[in-house]
Amino acid sequence: MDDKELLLKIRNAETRSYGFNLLVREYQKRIYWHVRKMVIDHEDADDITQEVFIKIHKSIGNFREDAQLYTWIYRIATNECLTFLQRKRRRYFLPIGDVEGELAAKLTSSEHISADEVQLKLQKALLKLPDKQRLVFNMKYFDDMPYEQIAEITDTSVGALKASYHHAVKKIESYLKDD
Amino acid sequence: MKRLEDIPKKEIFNVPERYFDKLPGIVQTRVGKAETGSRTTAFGYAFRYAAAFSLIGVGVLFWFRPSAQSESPESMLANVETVDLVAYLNESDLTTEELMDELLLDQSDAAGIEEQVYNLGLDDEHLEEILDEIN
Repeated sequence: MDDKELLLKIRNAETRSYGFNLLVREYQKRIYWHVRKMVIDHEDADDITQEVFIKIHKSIGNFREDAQLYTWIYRIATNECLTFLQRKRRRYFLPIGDVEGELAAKLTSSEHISADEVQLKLQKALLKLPDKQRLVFNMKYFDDMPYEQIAEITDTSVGALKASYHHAVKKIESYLKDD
Repeated sequence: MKRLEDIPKKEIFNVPERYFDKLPGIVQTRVGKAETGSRTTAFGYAFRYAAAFSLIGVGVLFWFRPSAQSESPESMLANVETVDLVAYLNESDLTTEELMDELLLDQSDAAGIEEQVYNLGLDDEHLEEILDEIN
C-alpha cells in the first residue's frame, strides 16, 4: 500500500484506526533504526519511536502533502531525536563531551548491541560529531539516502549536506588514525 | 586503519525478540489512551467553564435583582399574616415596655388607643351582667 492510500484510510473516520495501524507497521523499522543510531540505547529509542507515532497520529490531520509522507515522518523523528539529546544536556548541565561519554558507555554496556572492536571504534568516532552532522552521516552512510531526500528532511541545501558529510568523514578517519 | 571504506558496513544494534510485532499494538493502546484522556480533559474544561459561568450568572442575578431594601418596613409588615405576628410576639422575649419604646406614636395613634381602651361601646345593662358574673 502506498502513502496516498494510507492517507486516504487515515482520513476516513471509519478506517482511521486501521489506516494508522498500517502506517505504524510500514514505518516502524525505518523510524526506530533512524532513532536508535542517534540515541544508542534501545529503551530510549523505543520511547522516542512511540512518541514519534503518537505525534504523527495527533497531527496527521494537519498534514497538507506539501512534502511526501515519508519525509514528513522522518522530520518528526529527527526533531524528536535532537530534542531528546538537547534535553539530556540541559537536564544534567552536561557539556557535549559528557553526553558523548554516556552514549559511548552504552555502546559497551547495552544489552542489545553486538559489535566487534572495529565497529565499536567507528561508533565511538561518530559520537565525536555534533548531533546534526552525525544525523546526516547516518542517513547517508548507513541508510544510503539520496542527498535530495536528506535535504528535505533536514531543511538544508544539498551543497551544505555534501560539505557536512565530507567533513564528517574526515573527522572520523582522523579519529580512527589517531586511536 | 585509516579509511572509512576499509570498515565493512554492519548493523550492530538489535532489538528484543518480537519487538516489531508488539510495537504497533503498544502505539495503538497509547493513542487510544491519549484520545480518551483528551476527551476527558475537554469535558473537564467544559464542566469547569460551565460551573464558573453559572456562578458568575448567579452573582449577576443577585447583584441586579430588585432590591428588597427598597420596600418600606410598613409594606413588608403588611404582607405578614396577623396570626404569624401574634405567634412571633408570644414566642419572643420582648416585654411590653420594650415594644412601647420601639413604637413612635403620633397624636392620632394615641387618640385611637384611648378610644379603644376607654370607649368599649358597652351599655349599662351589659356592664351589670359582667359585674354579676364577676361577683
